[in-house]
Amino acid sequence: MTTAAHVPSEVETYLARVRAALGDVPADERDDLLAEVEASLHETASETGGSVAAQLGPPEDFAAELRSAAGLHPSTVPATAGLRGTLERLLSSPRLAALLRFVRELAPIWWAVRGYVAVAALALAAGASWSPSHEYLPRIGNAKIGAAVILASVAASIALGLWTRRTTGARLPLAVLNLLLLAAVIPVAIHLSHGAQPLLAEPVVIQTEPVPGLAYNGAPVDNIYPYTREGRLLHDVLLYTGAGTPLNISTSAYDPYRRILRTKTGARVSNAFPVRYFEPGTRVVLRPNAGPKVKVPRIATPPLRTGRH
Amino acid sequence: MDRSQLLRGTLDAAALAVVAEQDGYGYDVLRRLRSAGLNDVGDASVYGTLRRLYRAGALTSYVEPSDEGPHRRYYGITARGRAQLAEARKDWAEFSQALSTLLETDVEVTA
Repeated sequence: MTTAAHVPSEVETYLARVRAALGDVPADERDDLLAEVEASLHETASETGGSVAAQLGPPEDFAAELRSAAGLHPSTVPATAGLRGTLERLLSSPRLAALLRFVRELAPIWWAVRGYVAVAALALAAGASWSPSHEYLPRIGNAKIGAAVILASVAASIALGLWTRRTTGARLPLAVLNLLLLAAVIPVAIHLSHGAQPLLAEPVVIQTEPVPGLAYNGAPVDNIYPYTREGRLLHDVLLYTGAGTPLNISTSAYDPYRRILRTKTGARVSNAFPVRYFEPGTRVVLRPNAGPKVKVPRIATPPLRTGRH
Repeated sequence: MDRSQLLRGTLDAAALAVVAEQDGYGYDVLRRLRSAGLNDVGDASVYGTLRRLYRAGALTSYVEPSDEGPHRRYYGITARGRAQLAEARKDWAEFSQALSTLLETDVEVTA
């Protein structure tokens, strides 16, 4: 055996690459392994004239063989294993473990939610109607039974969650169930956010967009024909509400045929009834007494003035 | 047949047998295995196997200074290692006999 007084640099390079490939092995174990290998590599190098790589193959292969023979493969992956290695390192990181513990503590919230989602999703799928006052309650028969079913489902879901924590079996069916319910959250959430809107918006529409101008039972009134109790049609009667507001009928667009009353100062008076229209091209109302076919009933008039008033 | 595949399952027994005969360091064990006829044994396999047997308590280890280079880590067999070796001998004897019988029969049939 020749002396290996100087360290061949090739051995060091080779060792460094083996060490890199064993990057995920616990430091103690790796150092022992590499100490073993280093001494042997020097002897290999001195016996083969220095070409370690030619004798032993690529350092990464050497490291893989070393790892396998040393029984280090089950818990570790080669550092060169790209995505999988990164993923496993990530999964074994203490920060993720803490996050998982935290998520596990929050699991009961999900149990309750999935109990509701299960009922809501089935109600959606079955096309059930929803309570108009409590939009989140499907009507199973009626909203009260719906509420009872939801409570029962939530209770069952929580019981299932507690049972799962104690057992290790049934993992796969539970995972499938959880995934399905997680997916069902989307349509249920959409229903809750969109489905509830028309119920809320409907009365708002009525209040914010009343029929403009005069209306009777929601239908627009475009003219009013006042008759005396004797059945005679009156002209240019000015009508006011109890609050003193003139009951104006005015079309938004200018109507050249409408006969408009004006005050002496020239202001328009739009609460004069019946509204009359000129003959086209003239300033004449052709039939001022025309009106709807009304048969004014014969009236037994009670006295307007009672007592001394 | 790929002899490295055959070796894989038997390297523990082979390494134990070599060390039982006489304490040795990594490269020494490798050389003795090869000179015994196991030419296909891989360097890294032997070093890894020695470390694993040491961790499992089948081998003990100590460092000896070497005037030819870095210190050498010698391995010696322990009581547990001897028990493991005896077990391996028994298993191998049964296995090799069974396989020999099978393979020799096969030769006669196809001949």
